[in-house]
Amino acid sequence: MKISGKQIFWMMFTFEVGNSLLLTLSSTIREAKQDAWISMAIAGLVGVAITFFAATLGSQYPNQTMIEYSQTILGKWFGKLLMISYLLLWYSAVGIIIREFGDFMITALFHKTPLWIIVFTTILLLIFLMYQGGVEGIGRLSEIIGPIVLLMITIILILAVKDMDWHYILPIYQDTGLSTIFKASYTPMASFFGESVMIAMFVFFMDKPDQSPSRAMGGIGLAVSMVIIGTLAVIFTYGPNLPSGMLYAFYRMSRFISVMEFIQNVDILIVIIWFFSIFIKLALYTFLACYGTAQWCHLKDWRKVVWFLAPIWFIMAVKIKNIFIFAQYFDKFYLLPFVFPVNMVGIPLLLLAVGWIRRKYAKT
Amino acid sequence: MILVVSLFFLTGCWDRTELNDLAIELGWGIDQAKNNKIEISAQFIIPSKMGMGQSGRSGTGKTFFIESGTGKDTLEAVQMMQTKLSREVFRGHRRVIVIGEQLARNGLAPILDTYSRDPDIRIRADALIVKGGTAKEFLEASSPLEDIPALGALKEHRQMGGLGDMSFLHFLIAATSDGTSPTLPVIAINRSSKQPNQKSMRGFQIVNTAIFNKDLKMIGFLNVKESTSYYWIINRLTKQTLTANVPQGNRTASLFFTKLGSKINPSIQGHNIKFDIVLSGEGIIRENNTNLDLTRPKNLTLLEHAFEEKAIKQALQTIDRVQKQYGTDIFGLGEVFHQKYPSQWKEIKTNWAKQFQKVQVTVHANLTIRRVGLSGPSLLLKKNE
Repeated sequence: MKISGKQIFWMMFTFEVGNSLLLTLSSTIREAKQDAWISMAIAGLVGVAITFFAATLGSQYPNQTMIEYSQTILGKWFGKLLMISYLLLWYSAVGIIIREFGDFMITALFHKTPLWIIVFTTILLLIFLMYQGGVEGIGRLSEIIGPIVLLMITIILILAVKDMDWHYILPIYQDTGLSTIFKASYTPMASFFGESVMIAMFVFFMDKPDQSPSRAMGGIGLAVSMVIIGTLAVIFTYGPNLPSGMLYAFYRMSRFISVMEFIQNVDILIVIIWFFSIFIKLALYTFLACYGTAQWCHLKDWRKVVWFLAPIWFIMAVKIKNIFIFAQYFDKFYLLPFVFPVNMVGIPLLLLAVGWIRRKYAKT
Repeated sequence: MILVVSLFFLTGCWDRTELNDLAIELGWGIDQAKNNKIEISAQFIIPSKMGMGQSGRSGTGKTFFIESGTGKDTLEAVQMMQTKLSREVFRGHRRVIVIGEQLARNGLAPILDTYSRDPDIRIRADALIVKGGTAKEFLEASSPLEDIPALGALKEHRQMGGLGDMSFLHFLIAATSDGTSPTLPVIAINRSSKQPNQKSMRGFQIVNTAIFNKDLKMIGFLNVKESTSYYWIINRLTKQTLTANVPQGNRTASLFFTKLGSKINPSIQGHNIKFDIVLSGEGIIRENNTNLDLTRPKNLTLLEHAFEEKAIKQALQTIDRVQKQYGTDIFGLGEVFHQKYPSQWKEIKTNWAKQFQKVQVTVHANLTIRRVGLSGPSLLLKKNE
């Protein structure tokens, strides 16, 4: 399975933009009010930096995935130990995201469809994708859907322009303060923009590994820009106070669009954007979970792992009582204090540093 | 694998509701009922009659009907209403919400939640208060030009130059911000006789604007002229015709605006907060009853001056009355102050209602007459005047 630099670009863009636009806006605006866009920018910069480190790390060991080269760098046992934290993340992420996705579908479109039907169909699709192309399939899919997603977002932004009032962004900085803005940026940074660390696993599959830092950073950069613009758009339309209570702020902004009494009800575009974006993200994490487990356990056929994991995910997605409460606990006790500093920042930097030192010694 | 993919498309079928099973409502009314309950009324269209109206037989029957229900809150009332309907209420096309006067005075806060929570309702709607009648009666009145009277109200609002279907959002944003108090347009039913029965209703008109305080209780009204000034000051006025008496010409002239704008400049002088509002506009003269020849620039300036004075006078009157009589900042002066002097705003924002009554407001107007229509002087002027 080989993927090209362009596919990496669209993969990174698509999987980031949908989720961030939908879910992070409300909490960030609640904390930073009209300066939320600054928080997003900060979070975005950190995200791009993480991407840079992860991609550079990966490109130094182009013939191994992260599971393999962490063992090369730090030794068999310690390397494997570190990878457990990634595996844990990948397993839990799929279950939670499927549930979030299902919830949104039910709230926005299918009020009466039972959750398990949506979850079941999604899992079937994921299994299908694993068998039909693995990461290469995902890459090709992103190449096609990525531009479509970008186009849809742009259309929505253009249509919403006439209801915007840029004065809502004032007063800049004065109401909040550096610490508030930074605090508000932690959530988008940790839960979304840092996920691009997965590029460290994917460089192995690239046909031109040295392209990976630039392409990955480009994809994330584009996604971040869209999120910043989206944040600005929501603030311009609804003011700084109203969106704090809204659950899916960008979606609601698109519902408000009405041009010339004729173009209305365009929120279906948002659902399309989110559906594709989520699916790419799910597919990526599923692939990571399966392939990663197979490498870690030295299994021959990584595809069979999915049959083992799928029922777990199904139960997880359906059994969680209320995704908001669960996601809050997940964020508070696992994601923010552990995953971000360790998975996204700590381990890649550690691997980079030790790897660099080892190579220096190898020369002498 | 094709089967699996197509399975995904079929999940929508679970939620399917045939069009024939939907009752499409376009107007929604909320009234105060006895025992602290509320009454919800809705105006539904009759799809078959809609088509017939087009082919010229529009007199044969109303294209809509009303149904209502009561309950402790909106959803309970809707449940009761649903029992009288053979089809499921479809909220997606609703464009107008009318609220009865009584309920507005009692306070809107307890009933508004569902309008921003329910995923099937849109925030983009025109919200109006009904004066001199209940919302239910308003929905029953018909309008000569529109098939669907609820839309008639929305369009009338637009013709007046007001907010149109942004009024509900405007209300929500003002209700959640410290520096502004919300307002809603008011509509009244025109009656041809004094009896409060259905036959006497002859259409409706937008009469004024209702003012709310921070608890979302209605406390007063602005009349039509004051409403126009109000919309102009908050920079939301889209149409206006201003008539002023030109002293040098002895009579009146009218300016029809093509462009309208307003800018509010806050300033602090010592312990006083001042606001200077600059109203701007461009327009065409459509009526000139004075004896002035409008092809002479000097006369144009005279007219512009007269209009500016009139605009300033009206605006000052409006602001003054709101300050003294109601004491709620509906103009958003607080918010403008907040945007320019954020640190000072922090200190006074809890007391803004009191502060608002003390601020000094000056108004300037900058009006330009762009065109004068098709004649210079009035054509009926005698030659020697």
